[in-house]
Amino acid sequence: MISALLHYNFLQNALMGALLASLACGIIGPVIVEKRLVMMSGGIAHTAFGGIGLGYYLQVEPMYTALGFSLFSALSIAQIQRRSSVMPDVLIGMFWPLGMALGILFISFTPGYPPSMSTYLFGDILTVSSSDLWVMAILDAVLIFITFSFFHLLQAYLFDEEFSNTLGLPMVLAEALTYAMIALTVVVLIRVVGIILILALLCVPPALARLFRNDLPAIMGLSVILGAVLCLAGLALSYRFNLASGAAIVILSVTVYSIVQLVLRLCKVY
Amino acid sequence: MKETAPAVCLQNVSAGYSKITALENINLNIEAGSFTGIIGPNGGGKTTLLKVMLGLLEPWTGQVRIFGQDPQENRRLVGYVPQATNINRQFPISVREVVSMGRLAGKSLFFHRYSTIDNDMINHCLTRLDVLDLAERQIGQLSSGQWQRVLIARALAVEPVLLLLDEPTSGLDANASSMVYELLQELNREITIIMVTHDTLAISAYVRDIACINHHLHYHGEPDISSELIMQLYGCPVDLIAHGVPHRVLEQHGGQP
Ligand SMILES: Nc1ncnc2c1ncn2[C@@H]1O[C@H](COP(=O)(O)OP(=O)(O)O)[C@@H](O)[C@H]1O
Ligand SMILES: [Mg+2]
Repeated sequence: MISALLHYNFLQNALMGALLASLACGIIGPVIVEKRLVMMSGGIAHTAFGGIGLGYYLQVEPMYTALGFSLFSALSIAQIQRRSSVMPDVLIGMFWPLGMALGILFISFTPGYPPSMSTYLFGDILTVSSSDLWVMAILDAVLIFITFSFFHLLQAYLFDEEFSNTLGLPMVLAEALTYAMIALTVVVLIRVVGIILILALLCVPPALARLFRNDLPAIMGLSVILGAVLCLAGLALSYRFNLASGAAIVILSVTVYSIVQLVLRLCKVY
Repeated sequence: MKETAPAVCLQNVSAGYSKITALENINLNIEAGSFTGIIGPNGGGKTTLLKVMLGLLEPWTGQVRIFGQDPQENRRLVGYVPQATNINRQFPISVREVVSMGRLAGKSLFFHRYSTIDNDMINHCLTRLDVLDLAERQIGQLSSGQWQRVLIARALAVEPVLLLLDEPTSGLDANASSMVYELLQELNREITIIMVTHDTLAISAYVRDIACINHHLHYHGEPDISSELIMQLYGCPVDLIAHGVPHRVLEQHGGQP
């Protein structure tokens, strides 16, 4: 694979894509896990499908419309949740399929042969283009910038919203930033693992990391590393055995998590 | 100047959550410098009352004044110690980081760093609550007494003149409870304290006033509560009486300013 890496541009792109994806999921994954926003993120990911359909319909790059669509949905959902009394679960249960339904509708309106959606649904890291890489890199930079510049605010929001409110801290801003970052992360991950498989890459690295570390920056750092290892190993498996890349990464991640849990439990017993 | 206004003044306050009325027509004046215990049955509205005072919950009707001002305006005067069990202790955060939160009020949070003054204050609060040696521990690795003290340290880091505590000794053994009460009593020399509690020891030995809340304000005054009132409040003569609260010698505190 190493020599292939030097020869094939698509493999170099895939490698870069995997690294950029693990950066995003390593930073946001712990946020999502600690704030119990895993299902919420799944919902936001699926609204991105509406954006991809819109991209095909309008004949523009689906990554851009997906970005706009998921950002808009994420911020709207945060607003609706804040202002109405609808239960979060129920809200997720509605906008999750709504995003998918809109995507299907837009695609059916698109003239000509219906495009294959499986790259976006399940990801295909071996077809990541250099323009995709640029989008991913810029979004990663935005994610890192927000996390660094507002770290104390985000930490206060994640840990204890009520106390933060008594201090008059801008919780609406913190929430909007968090939801917007989830939307950006979804777009970074779409090309690598696809909409349907995103959740695994958001959960597994932070879930593993928090078994070993218990401060947030360290969990983020470790998640980035674990995400990179899992993505690259998944990529290698996918290349070697000709498997779907998203599926390889997800199956590997969940397997590794289960094994680590099992080993830790055995260590405790003996 | 602010100190001359009552610490807390509620006028005809009713409040609740969507369809549930938790507080009805509460009129309550708490003087600056007092140490007030709020008692009442579970679900009686004690926590809701604190939330109204904190400006976390807008009352449906009536007026809330903290040192004569709107609670939203006065945030940095008030320290809040929420019920310890309400917080996720699995969260990856250290004791020091939790206490540091108290210093965030009124700061610009874009590229925020804690100043030397902040860090001195944080260390001071950690020391005062005797948790300095635990400062780098993750909060899940504390006993309930230590965790309670961390929450008080965080509230003190705000440098409040009014401290609101929600059941600060629930789940603590007698020793740890007394420690908390001794500390509060000491703090009370400088600041006003309002504490929700079920603990009869606190009521009989430390608190100077009580307010009995069950939907309505049933009583506010010295903790010389008659058994009738307890009956009315809890529906049965609970351990307040068994612990002999009515025998408390009020004259002890009679000379307080
Ligand atoms: N977030 C909430 N949403 C809806 N109802 C609530 C909420 N918090 C409290 N309540 C209700 O308000 C009433 C008063 O609750 P609370 O102030 O927590 O009582 P206490 O602290 O005295 O036990 C109870 O009937 C409770 O069920
Ligand atoms: Mg309560």
